[in-house]
Amino acid sequence: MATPVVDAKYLKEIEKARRDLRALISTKNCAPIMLRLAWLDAGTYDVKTKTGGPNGSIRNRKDLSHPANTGLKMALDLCENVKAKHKIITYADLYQLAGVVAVEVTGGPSIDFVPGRKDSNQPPEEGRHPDAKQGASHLRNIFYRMGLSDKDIVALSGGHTLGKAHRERSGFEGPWTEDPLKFDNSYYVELLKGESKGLLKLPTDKSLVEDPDFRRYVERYAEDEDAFFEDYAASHKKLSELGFTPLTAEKSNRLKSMQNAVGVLAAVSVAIF
Amino acid sequence: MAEPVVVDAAYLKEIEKARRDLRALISSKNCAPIMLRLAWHDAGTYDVNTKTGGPNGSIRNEHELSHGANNGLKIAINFCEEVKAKHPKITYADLYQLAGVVAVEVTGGPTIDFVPGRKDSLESPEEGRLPDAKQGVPHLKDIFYRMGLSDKEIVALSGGHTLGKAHADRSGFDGPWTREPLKFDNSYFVELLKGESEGLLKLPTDNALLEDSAFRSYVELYAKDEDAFFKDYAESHKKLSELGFTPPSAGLKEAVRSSAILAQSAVGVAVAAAVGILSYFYEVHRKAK
Repeated sequence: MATPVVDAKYLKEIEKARRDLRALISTKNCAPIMLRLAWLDAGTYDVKTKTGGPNGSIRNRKDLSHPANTGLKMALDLCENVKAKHKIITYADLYQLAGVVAVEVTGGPSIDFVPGRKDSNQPPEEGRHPDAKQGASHLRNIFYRMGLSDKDIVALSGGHTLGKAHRERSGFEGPWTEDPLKFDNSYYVELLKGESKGLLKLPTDKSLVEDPDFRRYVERYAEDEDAFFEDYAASHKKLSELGFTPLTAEKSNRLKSMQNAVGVLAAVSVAIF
Repeated sequence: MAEPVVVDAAYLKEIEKARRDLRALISSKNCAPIMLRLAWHDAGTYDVNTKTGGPNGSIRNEHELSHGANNGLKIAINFCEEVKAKHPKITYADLYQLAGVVAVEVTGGPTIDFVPGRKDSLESPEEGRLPDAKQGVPHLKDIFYRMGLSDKEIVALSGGHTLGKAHADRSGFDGPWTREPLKFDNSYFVELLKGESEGLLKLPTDNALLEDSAFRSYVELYAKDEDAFFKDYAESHKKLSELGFTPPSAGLKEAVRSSAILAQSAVGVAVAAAVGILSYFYEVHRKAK
């Protein structure tokens, strides 16, 4: 499918969709599943083959009616309502915008959002997301394949500050934190506490404290929410742009060329002198 | 508390944290309507002639809370207490106005510029400064002109009824004005022009907006053009939230703007000088040939 033309009209629709998403996500208290939708669409990226990534293909999954995907189906349907009012924006942009808004309305950091992602009509690459039952080396395989780092792995895991697992979906049950609709650093605080009554820790969550390199970040984020928010915003943006060259890179290249031209002009005048 | 508020980097940081806490609170509790009303009722007591009332946190005073117009607002006061407890430095006056701004944002409304620095007061104005829903055009003009606001602002701010509903045990009226009381949009004006709508509320003061020709022209504009409504609403809401308040950073913003202009001028001078020098040497070179 074609790259969308990100003109003034497109940007305006994005801002309207952003407002509609705020209202929708706030009213329905569905920030966790919207964040998960954005993550699932983006997290299929393979940095070597340049396949997968945030391209809206998640809507073409063949297994949407499977019980495991109940929440996902709900999020896709809610996004359809917004897409219907703003037809020109791509699904790829819409799902990532939903993820950004989900973090914002639950009190998380503001994440820079750059539109312009192309949609793909093909089904997504399967089997590329982490298996919750595994450990640190599995996490590294999965995330390094996307082109992400240890810091990204730990920061993004902080997304578990929102929501809960559902037995009929993943086999696991319950929230990770006391306030599953509040985006903060409590996921890390709970992780370091060890067993917390009624709160979930997946094997993959636990691996973050068992692995010494991951653990450094867990300790930092548990102690300093501002540091977590800063790293989270950077990692979330990176994830949401895997395989996507934001238009602003183009604009900043243009600016650099202009600055070079001025520099050349200055050098030429010196040379003549 | 009459000392000026020091709006330093630490204060601004607390404001941003409070803003995020308010987003989480207002979203998860679906309480945007009552938070907007709290902000409005704290600010709307302003008298431009006596310079009394206005957004100064006085609404938390039991005496003022017990005014009939403020029935039901205790719930919003209590929600805000949760945020104040985590950010004790920020004034109640700022907190209540910030809550109003966030309420509009998370329900899909326009972004409203928020400038902190309001002082708190425990002096409450007399009852009767807020509008009486049972009245009409002259009353609305009395009340809002007294605040220093205009016809446009009366209509734009009435659009706040896009959110929430009236409660029989609070105001005596009942029900929402629009089909989606948790969505901030221009449907209040669309419904107003439709006349009677099944199950939707129209207060006498809402209907008054159609009875005056100046008011009506704004209603028609906003019903037709949501962008125009959002623009006017954002300006009017900001103005209301700053009645009697001189933002301290007005000076800072001016300084920043001036230095940007200065920098641009300097670049302009440098370019002109370069052109001048180039031309000079070109002339010299030409004459030397």
